[in-house]
Amino acid sequence: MTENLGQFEQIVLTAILALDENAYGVTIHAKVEELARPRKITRGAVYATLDRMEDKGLIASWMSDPTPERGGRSRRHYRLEKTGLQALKESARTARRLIDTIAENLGGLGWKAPR
Amino acid sequence: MEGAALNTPPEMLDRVVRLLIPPAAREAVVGDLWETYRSPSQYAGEALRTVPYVVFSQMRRYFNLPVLLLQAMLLYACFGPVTAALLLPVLMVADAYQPVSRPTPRRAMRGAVLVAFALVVFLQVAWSSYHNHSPLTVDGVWLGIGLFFVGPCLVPFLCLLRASLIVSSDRRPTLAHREWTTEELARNRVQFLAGLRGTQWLEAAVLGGAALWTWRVPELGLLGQMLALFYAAAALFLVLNPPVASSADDFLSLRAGYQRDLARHQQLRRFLWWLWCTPALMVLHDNAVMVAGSGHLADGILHGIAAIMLYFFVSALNRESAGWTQEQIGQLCRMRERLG
Repeated sequence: MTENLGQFEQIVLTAILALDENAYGVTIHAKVEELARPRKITRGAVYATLDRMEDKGLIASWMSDPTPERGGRSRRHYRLEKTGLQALKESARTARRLIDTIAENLGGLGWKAPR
Repeated sequence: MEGAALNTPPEMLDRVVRLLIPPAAREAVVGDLWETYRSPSQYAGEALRTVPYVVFSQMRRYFNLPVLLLQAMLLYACFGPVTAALLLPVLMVADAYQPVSRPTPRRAMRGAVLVAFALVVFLQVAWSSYHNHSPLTVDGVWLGIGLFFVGPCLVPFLCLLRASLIVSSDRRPTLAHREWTTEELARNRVQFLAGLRGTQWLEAAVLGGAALWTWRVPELGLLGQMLALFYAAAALFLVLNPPVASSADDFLSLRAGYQRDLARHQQLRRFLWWLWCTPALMVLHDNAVMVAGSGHLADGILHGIAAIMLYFFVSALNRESAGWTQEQIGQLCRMRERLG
């Protein structure tokens, strides 16, 4: 059975998926802000969600080599796990159904499903 | 990149931020803050917005309800409801800030000396409060001076106990390799889980035995029956939840699964130690109060000392084990895949 995701979890997972190899705290936060606009998202909320999803086994993390611009500290990189990908696909299917239903009902009012 | 490296936060501010962020998340979070550093005020603001989330996240990660309940019972029995209510949140926050490595031997020994010092203070306070007269009376002065020697006499014993725990931790196998193939990692994980399964079965059997024994001892009364149920439930949990390796396709998933196994094992281990020692601590505390209250001060003091020693032992055991687990999780985090 796939994990039910909250909206914020869907956004964070989507950000990790989009960033691929370059998914770590700073880039994930930037991507999440982009996906969630106009909402402002604190980086702490992203960290907390990443920790929670890692404990659920939806994502995996590892430390990179230290870099000088980070004061000799490593980056924690993230990647979607199989269960995370399945859960995200399931959420996308639900979202698709919602969009179709809303478009059907509001179509007459000139509302267009986002592309 | 070099320009970015020169633009760094002020040393003092950075030190404060590092102190506020729990050790388990420190490297990644402080590194991210450095990477996006623009000015001291931006850095401080970003850190202030981030820290509460990170602390709560770590509190959630290390949260162990059964352990917290056992600690609450113990605190309630020893110090009353108000102290218990005040100390529980402190314990939860302390969990969030637990170190990611074992303490150095020097630090561990310092802890042992500190406990001996705390014991002296505790004995003085306990003595003066139970007998309701000041240690400055003639009798009180002699007894007070005598009690001052208990702590220093215990220091070698506490240090020896602590040193033996350090040595036993040193002997545990570690994941000290920088590179492993997927097969090597999988084999190591299977060995680790097989070892856990064996220990878990053994502990379930001992818990079952303890449940039977406490149920059949009439002197323990209702407390004994409750304890028996606790032990039986824990034994059943261990039997029904043997450690099983989740499926993993590649090195990264395998490593993540191994890290979760280690974290789960540590949480379970912590619960079981507290489960074993909490009843003993409660009994020792009750005896200390009762015996001392009935005029047998020396016996009461001995019970008090035994309770503190047991608490020290379990805390040290937890500290060593948690440190070892965190070290292994950290090693896994930095491990690279070796191909072929």
